[in-house]
Amino acid sequence: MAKQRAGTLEDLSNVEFETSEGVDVIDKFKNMGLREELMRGIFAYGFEKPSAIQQRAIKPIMKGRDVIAQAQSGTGKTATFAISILQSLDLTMRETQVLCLSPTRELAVQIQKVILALGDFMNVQCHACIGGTNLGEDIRKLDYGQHVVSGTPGRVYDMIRRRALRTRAVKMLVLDEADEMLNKGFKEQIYDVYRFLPPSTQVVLISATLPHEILEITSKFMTDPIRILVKRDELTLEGIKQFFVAVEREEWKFDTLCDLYDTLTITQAVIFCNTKRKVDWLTEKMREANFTVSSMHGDMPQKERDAIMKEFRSGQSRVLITTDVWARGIDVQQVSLVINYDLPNNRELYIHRIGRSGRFGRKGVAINFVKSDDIRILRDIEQYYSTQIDEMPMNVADLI
Amino acid sequence: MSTYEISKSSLLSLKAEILRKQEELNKTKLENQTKTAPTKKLTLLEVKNKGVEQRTVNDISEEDENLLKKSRSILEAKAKLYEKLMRRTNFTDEELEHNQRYLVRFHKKSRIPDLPPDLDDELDDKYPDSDEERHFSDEYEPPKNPEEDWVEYTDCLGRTRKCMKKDLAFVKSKDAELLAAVNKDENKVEQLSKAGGSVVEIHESGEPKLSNANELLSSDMRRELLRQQWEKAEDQLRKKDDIHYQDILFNEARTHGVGYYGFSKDEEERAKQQEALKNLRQETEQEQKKAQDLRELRETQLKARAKAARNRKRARMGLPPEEDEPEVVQPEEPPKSEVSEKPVENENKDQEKEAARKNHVRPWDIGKKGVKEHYEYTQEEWVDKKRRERPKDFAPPSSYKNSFRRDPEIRENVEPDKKLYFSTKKNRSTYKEEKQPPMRPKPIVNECDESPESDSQLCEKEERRSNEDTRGKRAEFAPPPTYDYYGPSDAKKSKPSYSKGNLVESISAGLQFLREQAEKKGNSNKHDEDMFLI
Repeated sequence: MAKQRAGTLEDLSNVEFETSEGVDVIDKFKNMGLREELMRGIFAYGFEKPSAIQQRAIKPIMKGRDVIAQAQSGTGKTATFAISILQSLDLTMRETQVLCLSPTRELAVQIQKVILALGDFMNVQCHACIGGTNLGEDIRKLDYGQHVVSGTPGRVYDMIRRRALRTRAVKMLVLDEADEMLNKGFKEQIYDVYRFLPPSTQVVLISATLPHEILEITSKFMTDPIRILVKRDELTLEGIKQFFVAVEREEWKFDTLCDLYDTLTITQAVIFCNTKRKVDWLTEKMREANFTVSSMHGDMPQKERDAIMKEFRSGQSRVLITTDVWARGIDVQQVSLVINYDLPNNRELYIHRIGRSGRFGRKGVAINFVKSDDIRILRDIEQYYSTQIDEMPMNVADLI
Repeated sequence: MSTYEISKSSLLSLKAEILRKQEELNKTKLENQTKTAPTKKLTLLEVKNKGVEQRTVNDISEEDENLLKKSRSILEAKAKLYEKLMRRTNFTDEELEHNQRYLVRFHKKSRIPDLPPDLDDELDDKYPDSDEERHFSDEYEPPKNPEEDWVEYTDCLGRTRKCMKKDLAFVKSKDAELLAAVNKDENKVEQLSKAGGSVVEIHESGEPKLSNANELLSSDMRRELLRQQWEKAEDQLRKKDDIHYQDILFNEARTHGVGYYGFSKDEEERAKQQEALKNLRQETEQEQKKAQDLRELRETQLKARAKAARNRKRARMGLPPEEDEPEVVQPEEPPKSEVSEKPVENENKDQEKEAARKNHVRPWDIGKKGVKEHYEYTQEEWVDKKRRERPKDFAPPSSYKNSFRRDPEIRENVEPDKKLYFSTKKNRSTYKEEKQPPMRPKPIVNECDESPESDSQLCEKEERRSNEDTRGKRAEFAPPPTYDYYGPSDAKKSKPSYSKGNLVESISAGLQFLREQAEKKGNSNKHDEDMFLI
């Protein structure tokens, strides 16, 4: 059990974190004590029965406790905190009450969408406060009064400093993809934002992967949190079949991809490369070979990124070549195939990438392109999550 | 009661008897079924309750009959008109214009040359679009004159179509009309297509409607159109204050629940729709409640009747009427008390925890308004901090390190993690190095009772712990022979593990003890241990 003493700078590196005791399981939305309008929003959005994480995490968050929640990809984590947020809002007060931070702009927009969808019958106001958009407009929207702000740390911090985003009524801070948010690049920014929040603000951390060192630092800004964790050998989903294709040379990956193109377009597919340059290169090459693909990465102007997201979400484009900007959290129901053109740079990203398929109980397939020296990495991943990554069978299309 | 001797054989025969009876029953059942089934099956659809037939006859009043007659006559008139329109070949201009009001292109239909006029009707029924097929099919005979050459054109809906060159002007004009009509109808259509779904919604701007059925449009074109559409929608969003789900859905292909209702993007309209939904819901609830009440009423009536019947029976047998059973409320109470007792305990605990949480100060909160300005270090934290600040030159020589570090994990961290080929995990060894004070001496047991914390209980525990520690971790010297007399009289110590003759056994026991110690240390925090540092 995680033993902790309040207020001390203790060394937690040897502590094993486990799911907290006494976490109740509520297996019906009806029994959660949610407001009627919210229930209507939940059912309208397509949820019928709460998923495992929803059964466990919604109640403690509603109660105001600090919560660290981990669950497999595509099992309704966003909805978990969205429901809790909506339940705890005071709609008569037009002030920002909840701040929700996520690592990418697309994810922040998606969270805004989910909150608006679930709160459709409540007429909730939720603003996506992300970089790459018009500052003046952001200020105007925030000035109008938003119940919830979902954003990326940079722009949110900017808005706070400009006093456009008033934080005095904020009672909850949600960090989606928490392990990413507390990683080197983001931690400082999170700290900056946190310093502006009222003391003892409720903090909720959510992610599919929560490495140990992230759990260690949570004591700095959370109070006796309730942990709902998943063991790493239970982190991969049964519904996502994982395969690899062994290639001798890098150039053969392209040919393999072309051979697979028909399979890609059965529904929708996402192809991950490790660099923006490679995304551009692969897109170019695919188009030269007369394949229809779209591509997206962080160096594109936000407008273009938006348009590509919309196209992909509406099903107008079916194959998306992208970087890890797409690895976390993005939810497109029809994606059933993920291709790792390059293997990811760490184990956590592998889980997140393959989790773009197989959303909320659907089937999914992940195919890894590996050169001979990559196989070792793949085996390491396989072992680490005690999962199974087989050689790709002939009938892979049948599995989609 | 008479007693029977129950033997195996009697049981068996009983069983046999039961089986026989069951079989008999099944047989008779089957027979009955086979008897009734055919008649039933035959009439299942036709079978009606008594009097239903008659009632329907009665129900059809004269008024209804007139209505039916009227609709029939209208339909007949329509059929006649249709026929007439179709057989006509030459129209005056006026008539042509008139005809354009119809959705069916009668004059084109009649141009089918090969068909005898009599067969016309029949064939049209069978192949309603034979004309179009012909008109637009890819296979056609070579033209006799240039005017009859086939040309392609794109209509206002973006479809690529073919027609004869001589018809091109006419078709174009039709197309223009269609476009106008489509534009005019858009407002209506939009109201109809609120639900969204797979059909792309139209925007007030009046641009051509895009639908998924419209597949002839090149995908690039379609994308471009969609992008324009989205941009317009976003422009409108900018002007809007209240943004709702439908505003930002942007044709997303997402399956919603059955309860999903696509509200209008117009604020007023939206409010109206929500109001209407609310009313509908209230109505439903009322109806449900009514039905429920009715059911309950019926049940009570049924019960009362049953009771009356029973009482009559009893009266016939000369018994007094049944007494009213007292309403059973008791079983509900005990669990209540049980529940209420437990929470009292739990509540106290919860309250304590809650208070602890309230008093807790997060390190990141320090310095905020209403929170203490500085972090209050505990003694050992302060020491820790100061040690970290100390210049390396003043640290104990590194040769000390090995002798002091009894922590096995530290050496473990030094060796590179070969298996972890890559990970987000920080390198443990470097992480350690900065966190760990350069030297950590063994805790010294404070034998005078002046522990930094006045909590005597904690002290006791600590003492015991550290006693155990010393036993396990130091090289163990044999105690002096007088130990048993003058040493501490701890019960545990009276049976030391090394007293056993078996060397292997004692070694393994010692190892296990060490392991346990290490684990215990790992689980507890260093806080406790550091209490004795100063």
